[in-house]
Amino acid sequence: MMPRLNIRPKLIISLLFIVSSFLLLFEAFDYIETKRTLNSDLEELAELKITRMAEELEIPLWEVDDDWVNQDIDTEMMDKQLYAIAVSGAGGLSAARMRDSRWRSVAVGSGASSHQTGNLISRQKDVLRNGEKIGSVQISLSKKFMQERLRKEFLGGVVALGLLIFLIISFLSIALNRMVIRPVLKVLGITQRVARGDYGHDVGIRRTDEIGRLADGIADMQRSIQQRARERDRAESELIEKSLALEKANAELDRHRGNLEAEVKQRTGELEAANRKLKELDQLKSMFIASMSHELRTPLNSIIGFTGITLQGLSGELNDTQRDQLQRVEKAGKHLLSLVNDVIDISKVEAGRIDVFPAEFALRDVIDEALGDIQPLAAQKQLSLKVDVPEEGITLFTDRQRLLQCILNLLSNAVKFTEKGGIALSVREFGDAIDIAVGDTGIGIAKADLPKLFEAFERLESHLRIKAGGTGLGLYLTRRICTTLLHGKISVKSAQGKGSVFTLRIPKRLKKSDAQG
Amino acid sequence: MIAALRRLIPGLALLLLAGAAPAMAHESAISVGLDANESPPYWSESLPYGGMGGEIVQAVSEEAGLVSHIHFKPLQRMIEDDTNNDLGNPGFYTRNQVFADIIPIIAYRSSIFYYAPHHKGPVTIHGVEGLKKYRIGILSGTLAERSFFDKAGVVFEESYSQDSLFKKLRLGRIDLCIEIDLVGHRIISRLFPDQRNQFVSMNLPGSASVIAILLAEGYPQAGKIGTKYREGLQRIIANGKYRKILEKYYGEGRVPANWRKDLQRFERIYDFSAKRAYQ
Repeated sequence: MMPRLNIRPKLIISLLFIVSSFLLLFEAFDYIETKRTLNSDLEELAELKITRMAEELEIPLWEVDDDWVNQDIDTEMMDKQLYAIAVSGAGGLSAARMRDSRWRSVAVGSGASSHQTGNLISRQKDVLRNGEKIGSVQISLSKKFMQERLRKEFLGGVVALGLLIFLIISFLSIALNRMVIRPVLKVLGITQRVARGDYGHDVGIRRTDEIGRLADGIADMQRSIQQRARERDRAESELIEKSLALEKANAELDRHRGNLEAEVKQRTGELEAANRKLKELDQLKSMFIASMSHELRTPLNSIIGFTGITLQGLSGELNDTQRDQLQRVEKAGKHLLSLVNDVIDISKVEAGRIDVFPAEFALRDVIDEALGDIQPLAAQKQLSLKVDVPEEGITLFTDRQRLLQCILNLLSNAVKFTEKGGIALSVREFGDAIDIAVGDTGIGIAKADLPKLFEAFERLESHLRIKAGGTGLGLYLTRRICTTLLHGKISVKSAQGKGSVFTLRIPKRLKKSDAQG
Repeated sequence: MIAALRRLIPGLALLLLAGAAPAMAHESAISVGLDANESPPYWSESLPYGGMGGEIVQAVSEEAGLVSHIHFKPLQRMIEDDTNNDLGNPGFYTRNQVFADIIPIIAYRSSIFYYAPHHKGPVTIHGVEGLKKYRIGILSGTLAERSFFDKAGVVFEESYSQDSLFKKLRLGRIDLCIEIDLVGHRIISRLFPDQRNQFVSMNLPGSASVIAILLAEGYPQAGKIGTKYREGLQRIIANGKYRKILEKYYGEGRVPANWRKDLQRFERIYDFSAKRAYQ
């Protein structure tokens, strides 16, 4: 409301509205009250006049004196408020007066009717002589003068009201100007000076009211800004000095920059060359290991194969010593073959040369297959084997062989490092992933050893581990297959002397983009 | 009763007054100024020749070789002015003014009027006691000795106009009213022309009174003018003009029978030449 106006016209318009409303209400009330009073006065006057006329006309009507009656009527009609008088009496006495259009009193017949009925107050009274009716008088008072007076009073009231409003608004305007507007403009001027950076002018308002507090606030702000401006100037000076020093240092730095870049370039080149060499060496290593492993596996297969044939007695009967020795050879060969296979697998994984072949299969089948392989070993050590797999079948889309390899590794480790108690395998679904946990009641792992558990060639010290043997590649390979090929992760919880729980978490379905490992 | 009613007469004799003004010194046509009070039908500006008295004064003046100018004035002014010539009942003026001559020109009587339909039969009054049972209307200010009647127990109801007396009489608000005979009849004829026979009048015995020309003492040639008025009056009486004027106002056949006798009696009373000769 009135958004474009300044405070002064806004306040004046608001005050004008309030004052005018109040005074108009007062004027309206006064008008209504005056009208009521005048009407009441006129009614009272009519009552007084009719009573007095009835008394005055007693003798003229008794005397049947037309002239006297007419004189009385004419005298009464001098009162301009009387619109009409009609008197009748015995002996055919009848006299009446009525106002014409120019408000002159004119004689009319007693039956003349008024065309101002709505604006008249009429009274009729019998004229009595010793209690006996000798005639009657009827008067009509016009409201014309009452209305004129009311109109004049109203107009006067309106004029007075207008004058009063003008005076009030003028007074309020002047007071507002002196008390609020002028100080505010002064404060505004000071703020504009401050905005231009001129802090030297005093607000000069010494008051204790809101304006005074505003002026004090402005003065405080002025001082504060002035103080900050000084600090800013000082800071700017310091900044300039420092900038100059920085420029100097930059110039110095620029002089050295050429050499530095050349050195960095040289070092980078050296590093890149070293890196290339390392990669080449790594590939050579992997290729060497793969080749070596392949070359080792061939004679190992021959050793194992022929040892098996010999143990079967196909080459002749063996005595117990021979059989025992050959069995040791076969066992050592198989262990070596296993070791070689692990090395080959690790090499392939690290070299990125192993392929992933995802396919749809039932998890239960894989688990059963793993359990089938591990069951004889567990039974040999009299370990219990518990399986907890959800009854509803779980179908996976991943590399079946690699998953089986991981589960077998974990089960194999569990059997290896458990002397009593049992092994537990459980499967849990977690949304798009499953957890396959293998727990045991074996020797457990020291807390300090856990970080290096999944590293290659790490074998933790314990008599059981020594007894169990192993290359220390199993968990490393399992971790690499799980993370690199199956895009899962492996974790372990263990307490030394109480057992361990290894958990594989893998996605139920491999993405096509993950298929090539 | 007669004695009592006589006390009324001065009041009832209404205000037939006149004044005088300086006359011209022309021998053959002396001009005389006379003051009169509005009291119809005797004196009235609205009537031809100024009313019955005016017609008689003009007729007398014509016969006497005088020129009379009648000026109508309020009664009180006429009474208070002690240098003017008056036309009227001498009783009103002689108390305050000395006159050089008084010439009676009209004799009149007062009557009791009543409205016959309000009475069972003809009204007869015997003495003051006979008035006590009636409501009697009179013109306000005409009752000279009210205390007399009050003591006698007679109640008068005063009215402020002569018309009122007869209207009230007609309405039965009063039983009787007393008025100069000629005045009463003329009012009845004017107000109730169709009922005037219903009104009955009875002459008051001893109520005869007079209207005269009163010439102020010190008025130039007052004696001579008085003599001329008297001569002129005698001439119009003799030639019948006077009676015609009376008939004009009373109505034909209604002129009081004793008018001449009454006038002569007042002529003798106000015969100043005889008084002067006697003195």
